[in-house]
Amino acid sequence: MEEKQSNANDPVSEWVTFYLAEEKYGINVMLVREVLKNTEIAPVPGSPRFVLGIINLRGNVVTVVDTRTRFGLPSKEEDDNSRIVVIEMGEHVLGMMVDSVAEVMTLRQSEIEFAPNVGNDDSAKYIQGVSNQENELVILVALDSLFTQDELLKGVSAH
Amino acid sequence: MSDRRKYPDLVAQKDALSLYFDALLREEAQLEPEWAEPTVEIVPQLPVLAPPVLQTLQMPEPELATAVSQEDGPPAWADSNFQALLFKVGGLTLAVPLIELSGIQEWHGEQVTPMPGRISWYLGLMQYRGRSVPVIDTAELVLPTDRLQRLEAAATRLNRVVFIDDGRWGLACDEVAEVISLEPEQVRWRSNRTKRGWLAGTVIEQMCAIIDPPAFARMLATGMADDAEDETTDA
Repeated sequence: MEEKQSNANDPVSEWVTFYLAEEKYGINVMLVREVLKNTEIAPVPGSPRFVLGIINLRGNVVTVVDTRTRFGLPSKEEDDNSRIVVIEMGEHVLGMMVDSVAEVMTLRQSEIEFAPNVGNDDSAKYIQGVSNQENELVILVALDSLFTQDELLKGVSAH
Repeated sequence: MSDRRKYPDLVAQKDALSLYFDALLREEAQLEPEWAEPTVEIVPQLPVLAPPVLQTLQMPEPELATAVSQEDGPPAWADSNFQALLFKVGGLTLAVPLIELSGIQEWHGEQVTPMPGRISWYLGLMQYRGRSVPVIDTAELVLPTDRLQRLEAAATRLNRVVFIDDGRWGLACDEVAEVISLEPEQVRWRSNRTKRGWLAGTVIEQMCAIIDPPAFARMLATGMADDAEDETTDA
C-alpha cells in the first residue's frame, strides 16, 4: 500500500483496527492508550450488563467493557487472541474487550464514507463511518457516542 | 345496496384479495378495515377493478407537509401507464415501479458486511456503484411474525438485491420475476396510508403488492416499520 500523505484538502487519520465477530472495526489512534493481553478481569457485582469487570493497570483501576455486548453482538469466550484496548476519553480511561487486534491503518478523509442510518436503532450512532479497504469494509467507531457520560461515571464508580 | 347483489362474485373476489393480503401482511390481532371499507361503496358503480382514485379526489386537500400527502393515494408515477418489476419475498410478490428502480444485483452473503445493532432485518452494507449501501431483508421487514417463523434462513433464501431510492437502499429478495405493464385503474390504490405507508396499492391479476419506494426508504431510515418498533425496547 502506498504511503498516504496528508494534505490540506484530504487529511489523513490513523486507526487502530480490531475484529469483532469476523468484522473489522477501527478506533482513532489518538484515543488508544495501549493494548493488553492476558489480563485478569475482576467481575463487579451490580455493574451494567456490558461491563465485564475491572483490571489493575499499574495501580490504576480500569473498567473493561464487553464491546460485543455493547454492539448487540453475541458474547464470546476470551481466547489467546482476545485483547483489551485501553482508551482514553477526556478524564475517563476504559478497556474495550475485542476478539483480536489487527493493525494501525492510515485513512484519507476521502476514503471515509458516511454510514447511513438504518432504523432508529441506538447502535447506529456508535458508527462514525465506514471505509472500503481492499474489499474489506472497516467500521469506524464513534467512541464519544459509544458511552454516555452517565455510563462512564457509572462504570467508573462501580468499584 | 341492491346493485351490489348483482355482482356477488366480484365482491367476493375483492374480499378474497383483501383476505389474501391481510394474511400476508398482518398479524391477525391487527386486522383493521383499512382495505375493505372503500371498495364496498365503489363496487356498484365500477364493478371491474374499481379504482379508489375516485375516493381520493373527494378527500379534502392535505394541508400539511408534502411527506404526508405523498403517502395518500396513488404516487405521481401512477398518473398514467407504468411498468413495474415483480420480485418475491417469502411467498409474497412485491412490485417496484421501474421509474423508481435503481438496479438489481446478485445476492452474495459474503459481500455484505453486517453492522452492529439489534435490527433483525438489517443485513449490512454492500458495495454498490462505489458506495456502501445498506441492504435489508425485505421479508423480515414486511411479513408478520407468524409467517417469519416459517421463513427459510437468509443464506439459502436470498438471491437478488433490488436497489431503490437512487441506489441508496438494497432490498434483498428471494427472486426477481418479470416486468409488467399496469394501467393505474388496474391497481387498488390505498387512500389512507397512515400505517404501512410503503404499500402503495395492490394488483389482483398478479396478486402483488406495489411498493412506494420513497416511502419505503423513509421507513428504513427512521425505523417506522410496525415490527421494528419492538426491536428497540432493549436499548
